[in-house]
Amino acid sequence: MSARRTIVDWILRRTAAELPGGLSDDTPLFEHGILSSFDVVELILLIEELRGSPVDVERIEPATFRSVDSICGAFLAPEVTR
Amino acid sequence: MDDLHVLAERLCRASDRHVDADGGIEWPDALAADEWCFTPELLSLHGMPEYEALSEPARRRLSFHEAVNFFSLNLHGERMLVAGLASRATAPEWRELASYLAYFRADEERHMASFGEFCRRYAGGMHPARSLAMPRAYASGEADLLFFAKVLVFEEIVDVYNQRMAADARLSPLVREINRRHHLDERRHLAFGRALVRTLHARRAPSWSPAVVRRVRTTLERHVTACLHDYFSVDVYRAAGFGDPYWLRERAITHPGSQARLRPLAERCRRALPALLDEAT
Repeated sequence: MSARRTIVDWILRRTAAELPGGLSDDTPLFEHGILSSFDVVELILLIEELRGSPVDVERIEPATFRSVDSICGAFLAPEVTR
Repeated sequence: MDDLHVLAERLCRASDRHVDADGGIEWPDALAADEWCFTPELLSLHGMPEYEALSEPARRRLSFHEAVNFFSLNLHGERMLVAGLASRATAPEWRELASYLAYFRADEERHMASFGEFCRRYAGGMHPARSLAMPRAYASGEADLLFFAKVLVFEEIVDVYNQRMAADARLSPLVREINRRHHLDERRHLAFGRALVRTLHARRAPSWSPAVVRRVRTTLERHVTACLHDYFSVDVYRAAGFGDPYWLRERAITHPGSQARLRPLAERCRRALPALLDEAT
């Protein structure tokens, strides 16, 4: 399974929001209430596990976590798989 | 805010007495390799097969890493607290409490110095923070209430650990002393925080819609869980030599022994925030 798919599946399991149209790669995750600040720690841990290296939170802006596309673009190499 | 103002003035005087009576911490050049730095029964892996399989020296080394995590959590939490107190220092609505908020902030800065010194001297630095505040809108008074309620939750949990470890004769004298000093200051912060959150809630909540009331409750419930889960650290498990720290963290959080250990901590938080966390209120 690709890292992107792993992240999407994680979001879908984690969210309490109803997503009748599903989750697209550019859906605003926090603006639409799909995720909250409390999910960020666990999401960062997942990203670290997927890419095998730490995430420096001090250098990250909240906008980095805006969507699946922005998350994968910021943290994952294109061919990273789990 | 009359009762709160009276309490704040009393806490200012108590702060003066306490700081004058307490000198600086004496830092040894090194910690003994075989010292316990965290109460064994509070270790995040206690009761799990992975812990039972550790030798006694390995358990003591694990306790050192858990202490670094504990002090790191405190440091990160207090950094946000100091920033929040500083932003309110000159705000007109906080003028009556400004004196005590200044003591509060000074206490936290002193704590940060101690926690940071321990991590720097003996671990080469602190564990990283992974939380990130996401921008959101608040109802009137909601931001202040959540700020101080979240601080209260954080400190209620920490105080349990501080008291246990300050009294644990098995631990390094330095670790006991750091926990003891923190507990003595936190008694004042907890007294203030509990009264302030009650006051802010009584003042603001009547104007909130049911949706906002539910949002505040959900936010604090999730914050309690998040604070408790911070004590399960991949950085600890990696430093202690476990091969898959992320998997181990998931197992540790859901382990029945961990859940049994966390329940009274969560209950203590609920007792501190009855009006906010009680659905019947």
